[in-house]
Amino acid sequence: MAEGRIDRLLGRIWLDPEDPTALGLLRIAVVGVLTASLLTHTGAVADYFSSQAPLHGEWAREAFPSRVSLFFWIDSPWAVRGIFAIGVVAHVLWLVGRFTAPASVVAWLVWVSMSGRSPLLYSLPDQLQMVMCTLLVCMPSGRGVSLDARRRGPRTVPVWCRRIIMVQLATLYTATGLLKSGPTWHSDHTALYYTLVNPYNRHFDAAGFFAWLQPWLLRPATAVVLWWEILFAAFVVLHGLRALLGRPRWFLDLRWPMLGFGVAMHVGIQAALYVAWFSPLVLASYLAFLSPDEAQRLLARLGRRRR
Amino acid sequence: MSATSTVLRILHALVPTALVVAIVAPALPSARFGEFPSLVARGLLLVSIKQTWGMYAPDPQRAQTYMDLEALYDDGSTASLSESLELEHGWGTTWAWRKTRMDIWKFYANFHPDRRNDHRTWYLRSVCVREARTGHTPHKITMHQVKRRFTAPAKVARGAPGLGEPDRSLVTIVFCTTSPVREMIEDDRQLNPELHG
Repeated sequence: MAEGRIDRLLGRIWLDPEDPTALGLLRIAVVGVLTASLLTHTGAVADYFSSQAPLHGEWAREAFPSRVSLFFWIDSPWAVRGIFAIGVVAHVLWLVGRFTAPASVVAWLVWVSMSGRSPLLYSLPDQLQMVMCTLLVCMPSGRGVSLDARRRGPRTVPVWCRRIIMVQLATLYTATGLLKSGPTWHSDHTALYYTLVNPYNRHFDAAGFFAWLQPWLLRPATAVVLWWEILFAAFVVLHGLRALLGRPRWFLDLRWPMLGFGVAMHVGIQAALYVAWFSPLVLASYLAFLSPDEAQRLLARLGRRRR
Repeated sequence: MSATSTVLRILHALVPTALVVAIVAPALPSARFGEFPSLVARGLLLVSIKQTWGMYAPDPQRAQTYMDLEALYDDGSTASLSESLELEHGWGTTWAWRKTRMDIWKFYANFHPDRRNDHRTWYLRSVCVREARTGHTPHKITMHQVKRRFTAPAKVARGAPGLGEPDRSLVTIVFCTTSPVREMIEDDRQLNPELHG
């Protein structure tokens, strides 16, 4: 009896099967961003990762001892370019969902090798690329909206796949929110102002305009952003609870306000600042919050529009 | 349900459970969880996964710093290196197509000017190799930092400029003719003779 209950609980939380459409859409969006990011290395691959880099060979291994990389051992410029090209092909196959599992492993190996060989070429926003890439490799993401699915027929995926992405987003936001302990976030509420005027990554030189916005827009927005981040984990817990209870009508669906704010915030960040691929990748990850039936409706709508 | 299928389900459930541990554990405070968070973090770092998230934390930057590199050659001449161009062009705006991944390394190399920073050490050694490829190996490279603080919004609203005056300070000196930089340059010369002028 107790064994049955535990099994049911395991099923509800992690193992129950669901339609693979939402996971398939998530794969396309995330791998699309990864592919675009990978392609921005084109033309500099040998300069960054081969023996032509100013830091190479045993010196590179000495500089980054805590990392593993194929390029520590295979470092002739043409071999490195060849591996990169294989990585591009693997990304395209992963994107369209053909030979998805092996393609995803090859793509992941290329990312591990690039990030491991020259970790200082990757910033904090790039961290999310490695994380999302790794999580997606662990999932049967080719079972939906893919060429593999077209050939082999529809197969379900476990519910944990989308939930893991939700846990990742919750950790990212809430940990960041809790670490924002300085006065610009908690007392003078100038954090957004200082973020927007940093010449290292600002798109617009408009300190005067932002200073004018500070008292009545940026100051309250700083507090709202902070609390939205801190509360994101609570939102994910409530969202998971709602799903476990079978999405009853009385249980408020918080996705619109929480994710809607996130979309607005990330679009704003992308418009105002250079943050590499962070915003597109986070927004792509939001697709994990689509239920399979919502994903199917979205696909059907897109299909109708195309016809 | 057979015993085998129960075991298989439990094993399957361990996959997402392990992923949750890998996601959450590195973000846990070591004061309460001891060595465990850093143990998980070190394991993940092997494959370049970092789960420490602290964007704009504890505060966003309130100043921007660029490096100013000057090479001194054996004949006594000096030259300002390409990094120093940012002192002229780095205070306006930027877009993705103007950035290269080397900008990120330079950013890390500027951290902790008054403390040891291995990222800076390796960056400057790489600069020695890069400059040696031009045919003129510097004897030494002097690194200064130029910092400009961001003016508080209340002052900007009253008409003050958005950026403060540049503040220049010495960070370090790297010698390109001593070990291990000398060996790095020699290795590079043997491996990439076509790149050396």
